[in-house]
Amino acid sequence: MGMTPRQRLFRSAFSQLRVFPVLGWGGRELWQRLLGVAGINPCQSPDDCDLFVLAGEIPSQWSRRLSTLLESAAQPCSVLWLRPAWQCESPAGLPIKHTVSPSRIEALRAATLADELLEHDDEERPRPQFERAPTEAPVTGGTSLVLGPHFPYLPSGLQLELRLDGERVLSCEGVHNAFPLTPLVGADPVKIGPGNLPALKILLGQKSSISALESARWYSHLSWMADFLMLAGFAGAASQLRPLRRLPDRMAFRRILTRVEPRLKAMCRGVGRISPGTVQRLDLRGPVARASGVAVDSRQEDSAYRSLGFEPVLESDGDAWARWSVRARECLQSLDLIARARQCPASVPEAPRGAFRHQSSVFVAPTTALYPLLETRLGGNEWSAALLFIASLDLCPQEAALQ
Amino acid sequence: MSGAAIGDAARLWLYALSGIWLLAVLDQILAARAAGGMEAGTLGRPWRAALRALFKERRRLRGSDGLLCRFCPTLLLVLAAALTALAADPPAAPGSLVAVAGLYVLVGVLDFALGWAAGSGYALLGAGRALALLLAVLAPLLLALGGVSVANAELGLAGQTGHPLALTQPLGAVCFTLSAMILSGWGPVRGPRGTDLAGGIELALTGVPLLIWRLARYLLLLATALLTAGLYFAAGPWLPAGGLLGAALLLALSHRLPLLEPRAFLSRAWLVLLPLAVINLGWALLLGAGPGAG
Repeated sequence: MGMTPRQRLFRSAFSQLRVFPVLGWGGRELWQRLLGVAGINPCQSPDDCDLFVLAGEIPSQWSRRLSTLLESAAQPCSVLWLRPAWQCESPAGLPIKHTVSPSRIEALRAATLADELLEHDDEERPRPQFERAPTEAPVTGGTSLVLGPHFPYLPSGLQLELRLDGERVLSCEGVHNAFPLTPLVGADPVKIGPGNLPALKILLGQKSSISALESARWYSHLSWMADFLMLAGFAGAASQLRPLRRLPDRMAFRRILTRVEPRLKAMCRGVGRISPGTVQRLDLRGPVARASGVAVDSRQEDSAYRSLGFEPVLESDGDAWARWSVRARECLQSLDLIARARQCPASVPEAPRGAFRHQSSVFVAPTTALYPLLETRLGGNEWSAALLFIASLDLCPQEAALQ
Repeated sequence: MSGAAIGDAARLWLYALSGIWLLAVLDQILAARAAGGMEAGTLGRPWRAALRALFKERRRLRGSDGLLCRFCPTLLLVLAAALTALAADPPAAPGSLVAVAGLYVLVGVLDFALGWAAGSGYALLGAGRALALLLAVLAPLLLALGGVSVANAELGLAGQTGHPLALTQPLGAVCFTLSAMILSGWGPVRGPRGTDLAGGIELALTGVPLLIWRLARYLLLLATALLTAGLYFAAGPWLPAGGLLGAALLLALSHRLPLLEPRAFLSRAWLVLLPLAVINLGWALLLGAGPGAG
């Protein structure tokens, strides 16, 4: 049966879909793949999106909050679930219209999803109940605002209670992880993303290679760089960087960086400076520590890495720009190591955000050590600088939820 | 109303609608280029965006001021239309320069009001930005218009004759264009609609009100370009074409120039833009008092 004129107009109107993501366990990888599909445009607010994307395994504790968000979204709006590769319960209590397995993401077509919206549009549905609580309430000495847990381009699951005076952040009064605590033993390592997988395997006593470890670093750093660029307003460069995660191209990588770095440097210089003393006091690891000039890198202790002439990448300024620079240089270093190491085995769990380790038989992820920084260092920053500071830390609430 | 007046009004509406469409298309092209290349159908995107807004329901956030959220977009469109009408067909009435300044101030106030009314923390931050930007560019805008009135020896828009004012008051042209562009919601600054505010003051708008709000933004840009062309470049019969060309140039600049943080822009506005506007006014007064003046 042919389409009516109204249906044709509807399909044309929604040929470019505005999509708001909610990223659960393993969701970031699926979401970044969806962004490569033609006709999918990320949207900053859930209120005006066409498609609500639930990516990965959504914790059951989020259902109520997500229902409320969905109720306030302007119709027509449909819900798509990007199912993770492992078996899990579908998100409870949410009107999911379309479920897509990881292998089918690239085959998605915006027009097909728009048809889902059309079906939704024909339904009789109740008016939204406006149950969403206002995000701010006047308090003495500033305005309080809850940032997250689904703020675009910041780590999904991270929720901060901020007090503001105009654009200036006065203080951060609470840091919450919306991901429920999960025992490491028994958890599927894939849940915390492909970037962490090789290092987690090594920690759990399984075998992994330098090539796998460095490929994961390249992948994770590029994912972070794409998100960081989106937040900083370089959407074009971000969309060019994303495909390089699976198809490494040194020249293209350098070209993109050459184009954006002068402006990015001006934005990030001096933002969120972390001193070497703070690194040592909080036992920080990974690129955040190395950007402050502290050579914390367990790869130095691995004889296979040493035989390849490995030296940790260091910067001295300790600001957001130094953290960007460390990750950018580590990307190029990873490509070198991949080319030279082949299948050489690795023995240290140095993940992209720093070494995984056990402390008194409890798993401690690098992100866990970074949380106190949010409470102590966010105060005094302007709003946009505060967002850049948070993003520059490359927090991963999923890994912080593992015990 | 006479037939000629109706014809003029129809021509103005046609011009404004074509201008909006051309600017929306150009905006899409520039955005697509920045995102890595044009896709098929980029030129039709403004139509599809408008259609999408018509299909989307108008939704109200809890805690928002429904009345303000409903009327701010319509009022903004009225203000933009009034500015365009003043700029495209400058009236001989004295005081029209004052009306231009007043309309720009009201645009800034509407930005603030919408952010205030939305009932969301991010929109409130956007409202704060709108107010700060208004305060920062208001004085340079008024001083630049003051320079124009000194040169023309009247407060009307239609008084300019002879050589382009941009030759004698280049600083004034820069100050006016930049200030008006910022108030119109464009320019090199993270404004009240910034990506870092998840939509900012536009958070409370969906559906038709959002469409009206965005149409008004394009129209304001067109009005700004028309005013610059008319006041500073003596465009005369070329005013409509000059306005479109100028608006396209301003849009391209908005895409090309690096975005300044609000605080960085404010300090530049107070330390650079305002002194430049004062120097321009002083220069205009000197020229006005010189031999042959009056």
